[in-house]
Amino acid sequence: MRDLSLHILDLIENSVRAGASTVFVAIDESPAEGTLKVTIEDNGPGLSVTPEQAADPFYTTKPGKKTGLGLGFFRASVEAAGGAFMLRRSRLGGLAVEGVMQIGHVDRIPLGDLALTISSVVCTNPKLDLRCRISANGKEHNIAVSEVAEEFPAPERDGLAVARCVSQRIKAGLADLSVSE
Amino acid sequence: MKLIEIAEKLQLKNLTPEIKPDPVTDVQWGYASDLLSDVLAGASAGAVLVTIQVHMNVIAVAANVDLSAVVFASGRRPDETVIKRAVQEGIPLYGTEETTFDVAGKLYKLGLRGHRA
Repeated sequence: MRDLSLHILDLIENSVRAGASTVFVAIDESPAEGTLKVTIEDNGPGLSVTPEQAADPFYTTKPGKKTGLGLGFFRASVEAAGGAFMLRRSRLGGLAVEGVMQIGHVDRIPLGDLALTISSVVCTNPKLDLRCRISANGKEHNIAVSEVAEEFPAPERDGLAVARCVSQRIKAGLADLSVSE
Repeated sequence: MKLIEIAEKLQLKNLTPEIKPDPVTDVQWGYASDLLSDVLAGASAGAVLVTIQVHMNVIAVAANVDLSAVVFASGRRPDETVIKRAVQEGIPLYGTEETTFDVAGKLYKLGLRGHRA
């Protein structure tokens, strides 16, 4: 994957396919520690195998497939950036996938287009309770799709207008906190 | 050209001698990349992959794309669990001290070509 947003898209898809109705995505930058943390959590069923097995590229839950590369690829990207990868139980009840990277590591892939990624998930999964946190330097922006939707009249709540607004707020949040590319 | 001839000509170290070489199939395509999602999207079935990535994901991608072999360049060597899995999947692995650039150049000279899936 050439950027973190593609990993995020892939992992949100995993959550949705696993039956999650709530997905939380967090981008936390700590300039003091020189780290960038990406977290994807859900309220799905969680893991039915050990974390080690789940990250094995030859493990998949998709019928008819032999390989499951999403977690393995994310783990490889995180570790290539001098980072630590973790699978744990989410406070939402499902799985939390977490990667902490060295922000200045020469092999750290860029964040990519997070606003486009999240808004495309909003478009294709209008019923998903998708929440996003962007934090840096102790400041944070929280963008919940359901809250953004409530600002619109009922007939427009599942539409493009909400996705566009979510995209703008993510862009504004990233710019306000000067999150690294 | 057969894989076994390629390995001989490039003096590659065979990391999976347990796998019997395919005596009939000619290798036509080569692919050089360290971004495995790119390999997954771009490499053609039957291609030889040249890479410096050595983790298990390489084997999973190779199995997925049906690569004919993987050459680890610049002296990189996968660990035993990775090699074992490759044997299980029937994917021949080779190692060389040469860089990806040089290996790709030599493969090209032997007649292999780039080909995007």
